[in-house]
Amino acid sequence: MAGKLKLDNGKVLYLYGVTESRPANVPTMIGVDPLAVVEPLESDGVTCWISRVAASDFEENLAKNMENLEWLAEASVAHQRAISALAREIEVLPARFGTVFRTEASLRKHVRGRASILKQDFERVKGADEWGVKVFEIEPVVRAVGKIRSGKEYLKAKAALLPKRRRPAQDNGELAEFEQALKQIAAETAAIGNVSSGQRGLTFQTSLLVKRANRARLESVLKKFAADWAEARRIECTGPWPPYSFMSRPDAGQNR
Amino acid sequence: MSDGSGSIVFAQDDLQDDFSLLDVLDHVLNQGVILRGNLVISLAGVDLVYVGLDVILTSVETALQHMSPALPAETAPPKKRSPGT
Repeated sequence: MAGKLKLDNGKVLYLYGVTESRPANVPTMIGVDPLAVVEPLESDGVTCWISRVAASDFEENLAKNMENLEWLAEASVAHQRAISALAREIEVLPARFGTVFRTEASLRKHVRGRASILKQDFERVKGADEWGVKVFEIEPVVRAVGKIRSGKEYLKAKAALLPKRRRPAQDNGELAEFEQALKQIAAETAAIGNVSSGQRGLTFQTSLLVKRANRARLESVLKKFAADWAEARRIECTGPWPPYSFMSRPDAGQNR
Repeated sequence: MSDGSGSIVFAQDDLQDDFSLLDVLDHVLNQGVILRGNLVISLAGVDLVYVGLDVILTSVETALQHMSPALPAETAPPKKRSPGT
């Protein structure tokens, strides 16, 4: 009975992602709570990957815990590791960090309500990975000009370097060209950078959904621009990520 | 890792744990599949992530600047302290 499915012992269901089926070989995965392994939960033709975690950590105190960098670091990396381990075996729709359900019944209800959206998303990301690309302006190296003997001389030397940090306007054209080259390779692009947008020197950031067959093309474009920009800019590329940024928006197909 | 042609850094999951915390947070908090509604947790559901996000930005940035040598650091003063500083 659905009403009896409310979890006891103060546990809630933490969702990592959804797969179309259950792969034959799944490694043992430790989730965001190191005491609870990630387990499959079949629901309406798909498999949800969950672990049973303490409600006190992931429901009642989630917001507070996320302000604790140490807690957030461990939990977010565990979330990512579990999904990546799964993604090595099968296509997975990753859940955003912090997606929690109180009961199996509520999880199943929402899977059922979004079945068509999930199916569309499986099609969108099939055979593709997410890649993060960032471009940083390279700041001038601070060199000691002669001997600096006082704080005043240090400040003068530092001030002399500041104008060099400003990039000329025509750089925008190069970044636009870079963005266009990436779009020609990617199946889709998405905005990203809620957390890291404040990094010093960061001037461009995007997330790409790239078919695995196009991975070499992506690397080729990155290397070309990196060579062209030489000392002016640095490119950072991370991936492959599960396609976090390419899931349908929460209000898509939502029954309210 | 750098591949030596121009200035480019690849961090790949294949190499295990080569992602920075900032990158992990960018991706795991960006979106993901969301299955939410009025039966999900009562504390505004997963939107708590975004409510709390502005709060954690400062602490994440500050902490990483101290713990990660890979992040561009503030222009440093000369190591040998000068008189009057």
